[in-house]
Amino acid sequence: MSPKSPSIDESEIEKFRAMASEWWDPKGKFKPLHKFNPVRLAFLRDRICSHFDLDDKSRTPLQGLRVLDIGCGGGLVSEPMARLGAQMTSVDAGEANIKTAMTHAQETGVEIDYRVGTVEKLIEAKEPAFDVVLNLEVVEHVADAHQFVQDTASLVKPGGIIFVASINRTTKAFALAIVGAEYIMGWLPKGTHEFDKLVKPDEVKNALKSAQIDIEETTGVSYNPLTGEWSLSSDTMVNYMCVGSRSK
Amino acid sequence: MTKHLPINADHEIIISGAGPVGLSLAIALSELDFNCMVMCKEGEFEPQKGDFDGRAYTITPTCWQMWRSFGITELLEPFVQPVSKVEAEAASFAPLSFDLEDAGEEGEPLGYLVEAHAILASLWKKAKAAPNLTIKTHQNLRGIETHSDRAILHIEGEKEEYACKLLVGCDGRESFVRKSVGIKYPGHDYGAKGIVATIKLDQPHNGVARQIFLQGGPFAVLPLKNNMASLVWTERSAVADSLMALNDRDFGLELREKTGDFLGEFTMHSARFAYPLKMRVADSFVSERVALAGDAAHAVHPLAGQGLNLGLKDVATLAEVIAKAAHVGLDIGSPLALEPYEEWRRADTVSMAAGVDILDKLFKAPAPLRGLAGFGMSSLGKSDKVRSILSKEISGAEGSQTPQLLKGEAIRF
Repeated sequence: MSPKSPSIDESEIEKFRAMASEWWDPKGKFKPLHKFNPVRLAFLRDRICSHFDLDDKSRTPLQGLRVLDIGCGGGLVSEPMARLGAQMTSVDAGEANIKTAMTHAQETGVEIDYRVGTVEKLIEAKEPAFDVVLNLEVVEHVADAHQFVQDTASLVKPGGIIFVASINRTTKAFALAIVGAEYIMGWLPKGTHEFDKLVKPDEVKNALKSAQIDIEETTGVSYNPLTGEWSLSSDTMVNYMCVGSRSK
Repeated sequence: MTKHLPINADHEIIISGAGPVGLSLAIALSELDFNCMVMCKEGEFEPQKGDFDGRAYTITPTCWQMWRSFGITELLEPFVQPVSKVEAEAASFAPLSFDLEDAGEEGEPLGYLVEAHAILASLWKKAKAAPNLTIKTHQNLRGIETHSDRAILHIEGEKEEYACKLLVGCDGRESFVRKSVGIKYPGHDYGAKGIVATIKLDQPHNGVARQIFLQGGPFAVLPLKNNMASLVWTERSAVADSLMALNDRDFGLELREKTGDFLGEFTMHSARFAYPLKMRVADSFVSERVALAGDAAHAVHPLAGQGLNLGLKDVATLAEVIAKAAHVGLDIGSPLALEPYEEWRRADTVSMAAGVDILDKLFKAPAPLRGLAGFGMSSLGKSDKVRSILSKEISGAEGSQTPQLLKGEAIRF
């Protein structure tokens, strides 16, 4: 188990423990994220392994890679990545998110460098660049998406790789991700996403290119309401993931 | 609390119970590169020296596939009788029969009758040779603690504790693991017992398994090697007890009287065993750091011979769920990782248990309703669709949701 974090007040620990168990409850409030998570984790693992030519048979193939998870929330991606061997730096602007994530990582014995902060602060502090940068489901929540993608891309090492995942700004996305997920299915709190803030894959790609990132691929992630399962697809009209790399 | 004691945490997964289900799971997980320990109470599951004692299992083709991929079936070869046809009759009513064409798998038998001692011996042999796999026999388990990051086992007479990420209870109907974590095991008793015995037949059985319904319940004759057959005779408990009290000669006479010329000439061959019939399904198959498989999770009426097969389906599913969770970095003992196992297996088990239960109730109904049951069976038998569904259920073949191991494949991601 990792040592106790100095930034968590003992009197608050119960609160964060409760929040952590909510984040990690497969049947709880974040159920749709948990259903979605294995698909994107498998995608990340697969693309990272082939990019760095790692042993995909290994139980910890990401050993030796420095990985940044920006907007890490409760750590739903950071923890699995750490378990696959990655050396994680996980940043979120929400203090409650970071404390929740830290509490959970301590409970399950995973080592992650969690920090309250923003990408601007990392750049300001001259944080060394990373092998892998994860920018997952964040661009649709920030004030200036173009700048934000550029900033995160600037933290990718030469030879490194970046993933940007988000929801497209299309009628279909509006119908499925906002009306469907928030209002009809009640999967996400109403108002989680604002249509005008959604970012198109081309806008992400342009921002990446302006930070000297080469676009490797863009893939869609689709939900099948009959089986209740998510899978990768060529349809990027709703959920999509963009992969880019910086040349050596 | 016993925090000061040394913790043995070399194993990611501990399996409690070394019966056919526990050992199959251990072999599957060891092949997937998980570090496992199988724990069993001294003498409880270890194969007894000696020969065939009259107990046999029916194994469906899908479960057989999985064992084939483990290299178990070649060890079982001398002890196996393939089933080429299943005939289920409702007394004097039209027979409902399944044969190879119904199952749709060309050249593949409908099932395999295997002597129980051979199964256990082969699985032990394989498990002992498996990499990453430790087998430990012990005294009684003293207690189980579950924490957010581990489960810990305490054993009577041992100072050492055994910690793991995931504890799997494959420890049978009276599962200590299930009881320790407080999972309920509701269901009902049929007030009946199944008597198992082996006979030597005069007429060749040609690999046909037959089932008829007698006054007390279903009566099955399952083909074994060397033209022997395993009987499963279900009777109300009081009747079963008195049948068990008879000597071989009188039991044989009673058997002849009840079944008429159904069996032809035969001689009694083995000891008899009687098992109380119960239907039980655990309220949950998983809890924090714990999963249940086999009889620890469910006990069904043996009418369709599904007991061990359900357990082996648990094995295939759980191994796949664990492997896929670890592949994407999930904590294998967390509720998040284990939830698909619960979702996948519980529905299947409950529908199987309920189906067998309803069928059984129809045949136990008062005379006018029994007519209905017979009518139901014969009209069922005429519907190709229903026949194909029933055949699939008996042979264990399923649709796209079939775990990969049951297709005889390695787990792919």
